[in-house]
Amino acid sequence: MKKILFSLLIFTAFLIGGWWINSFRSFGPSAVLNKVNFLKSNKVNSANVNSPASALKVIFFDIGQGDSALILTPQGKKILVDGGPDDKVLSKLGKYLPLRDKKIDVMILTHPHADHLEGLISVLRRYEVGEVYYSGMIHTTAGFLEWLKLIKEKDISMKIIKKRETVEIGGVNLDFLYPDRDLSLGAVSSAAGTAGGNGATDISDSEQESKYKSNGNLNNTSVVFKLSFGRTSFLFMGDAEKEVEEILLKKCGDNINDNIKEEALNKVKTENGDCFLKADVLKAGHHGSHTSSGEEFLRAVKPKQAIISVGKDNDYGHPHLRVLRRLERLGIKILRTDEIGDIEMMSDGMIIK
Amino acid sequence: MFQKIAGSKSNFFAALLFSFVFGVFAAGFINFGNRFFWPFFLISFILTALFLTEKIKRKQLFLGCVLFFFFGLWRFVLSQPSQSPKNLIYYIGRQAQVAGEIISEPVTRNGSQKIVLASQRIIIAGLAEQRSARGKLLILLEPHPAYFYGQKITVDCALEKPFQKTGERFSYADYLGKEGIWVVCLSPKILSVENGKSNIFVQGLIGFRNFLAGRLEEILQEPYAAFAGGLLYGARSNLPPDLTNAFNRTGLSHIVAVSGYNISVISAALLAFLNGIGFSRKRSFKISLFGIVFFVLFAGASSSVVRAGIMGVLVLWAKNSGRSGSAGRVLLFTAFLMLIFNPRLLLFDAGFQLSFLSTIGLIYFTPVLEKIFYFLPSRLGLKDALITTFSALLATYPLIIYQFGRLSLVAPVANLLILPFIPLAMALCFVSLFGAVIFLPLGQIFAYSAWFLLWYMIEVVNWLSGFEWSALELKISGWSFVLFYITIILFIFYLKRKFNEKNSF
Repeated sequence: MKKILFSLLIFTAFLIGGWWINSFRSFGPSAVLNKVNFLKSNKVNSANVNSPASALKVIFFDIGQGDSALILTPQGKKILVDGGPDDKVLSKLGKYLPLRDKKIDVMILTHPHADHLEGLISVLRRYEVGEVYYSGMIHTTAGFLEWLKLIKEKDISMKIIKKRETVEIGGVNLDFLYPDRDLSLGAVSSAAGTAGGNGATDISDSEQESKYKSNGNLNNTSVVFKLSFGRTSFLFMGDAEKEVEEILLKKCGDNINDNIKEEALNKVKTENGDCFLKADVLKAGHHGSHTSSGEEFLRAVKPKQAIISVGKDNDYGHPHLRVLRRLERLGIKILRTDEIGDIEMMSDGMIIK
Repeated sequence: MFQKIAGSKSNFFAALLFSFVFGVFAAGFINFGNRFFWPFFLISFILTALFLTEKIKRKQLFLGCVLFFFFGLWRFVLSQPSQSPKNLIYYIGRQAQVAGEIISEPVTRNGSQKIVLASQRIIIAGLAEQRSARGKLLILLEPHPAYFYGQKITVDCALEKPFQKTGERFSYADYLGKEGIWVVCLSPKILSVENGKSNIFVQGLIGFRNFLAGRLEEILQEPYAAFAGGLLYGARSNLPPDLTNAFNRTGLSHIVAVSGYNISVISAALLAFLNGIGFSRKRSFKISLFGIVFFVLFAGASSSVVRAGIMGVLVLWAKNSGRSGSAGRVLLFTAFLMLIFNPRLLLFDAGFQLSFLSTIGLIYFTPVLEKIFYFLPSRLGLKDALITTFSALLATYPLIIYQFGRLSLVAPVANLLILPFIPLAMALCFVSLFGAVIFLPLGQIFAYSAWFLLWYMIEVVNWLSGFEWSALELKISGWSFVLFYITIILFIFYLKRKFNEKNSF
């Protein structure tokens, strides 16, 4: 009897201890704790951040050679952008989410290369996923098909990004900048049709399609979006290369877009003359490869910090030295996941820390 | 001394077994090809006749030892692959379509899926006819789609020899060869897949294990779920690579890898724990025994796991009976039996070597260490757990350095901080899993207790492995390896004698 009571006592002690530590180190309260420190150091503009849950947290995972980032919105929504090349993302989620939390509200796949996709397959298996955002680009690798199969099996709704649009989730705005047209195969012909039956564009479109199918240019189907909260913003490039950057730059002038909401429009106006690409933090395209992050583009984005998600001693030679020099020259602080591990950033709507 | 061995029946027997083991060692070391099959067979035959007719015990012992030595040589030669057209090896270097059945559960790790296929038929590119060619084929595939045990597949691939990294001691060919795999396929194209009739028992076991793993994954996150799986049923392949590396650097890989080392250390710790919380010796022995059987079944009951289980039972038995002399002989006999089944283990299976040495350590070093660390508190089996670990560590350290080129400096501290909690962690994981099987939310609540300990252990391991100096890269030659062991053995002998002298006063 005594023995049983003793074991029960130990068990309960561990149960409560585990629960306590788990809640302590996990997302909710720790965010509050960080917030307290944060407020102490930045007394300005504290009016904005009165309620404890009004901070945005973005974590760029150190996931090896690949991309993965978790966005925790002020209202507690969880957005996972890409999953990295393997299951490691599960351990990362295990580290940053509390034990009972098995839900991802939005999963964004920028493009179907394995170093962005693989981890998402495991996440789909383990986590309850609310919605998936994707460019709609069809790929034929087994991994991609598995991903699609799981989405279908679990009856998760998929939103195809095919034009510039802004989505509001949990207190933040996701402004999707690219793709600016429908890339899903079934819709190609209709897109060509609306182009007015112009033979020339038709051909160039299909040429582009076939180019996208080749490995290198799948990068240019990347979903590019800007995450903004208050006056702070993060630009997620996926693996988009200079071609996409040029397309985005061309539109830099015409800020006003039908799909942008009123507030966003106001914001653009107040930022007198700044391109809509402007962001505080840039997740550099294609792991800092020289195919991305052109000078002109960087000048338009004007980030204070650039994140390079890259594996140590990877086979591709990422990030490229030229890109690093370019960033340095423009006075942009470089943060690399292979050097400093997971990169956690907090925003109160005014300042990013 | 010779007279003494020849006189005692059990010693006589042990000498023969030892000669056999030595023969296997020599044959593997020199690597005799299979053309030595008949010569060795003949010599053994003649020696058998001489041995049986010899009347003088001393001469008979000598003849017996030589005979068993040749038996060992012959058995090793027998394990070399035969170069006949009936064997898959014959077709290395060719492009071929191979049809066969998946004979073990595919392992997905580091972004690739490994399948072992038992080939049945083969069609060589360019030749129309179908031939029957047997042999195991290792296929490396993309992680998706996942294949299963028992499926029948046809695959088109270039048959190759296992690749060898230059300048490394670890030989991939030998590593695969010990499992009877001599052919690999690195760029396969799966042509057809059908569900075959497979062993229902194994299928059921895999199904049940997957069910349990699924439950664990529901109540815990990664890497805790994988760690719990590793503790409960040795499912090591799911551990993230960086954590595996951290376990290696802290000299703790034995707590999640299935080997005799792992099973004996854990079952000894479990035994000590159960004793510590007040179970009777007999009952804790039975519970530990049940634990081993459970572990072996759920780790897939593959030959290496069964081997590990046998070693574990042996250690338990030795600890329980407290007779190290006879336990040593039983160990030798076990090794003999295992080597008869698969002589390649001795030289090419690090797991076998580790199990064997750690068992020796547990049997012979523990009594000595017990006298050194008499002052430690024996609460909750803490002392026993520590002593067993250190005996096992001492016995395996040189081998780990030699085989893996790594010396963990933090291993003693890491073991000190982690090992005592292993049985408790296992118990809590078991309770949580049990709860989850009955009613999922119950398991989810219970999981906090398990998570607490798992979290503690992973944090400690990550912290200890994080230092620059926590593990040294160290390459030692075969000679210094042997010297290392001689030193350890002499040291233990010296201590033993010293304590015996003390006792006699």
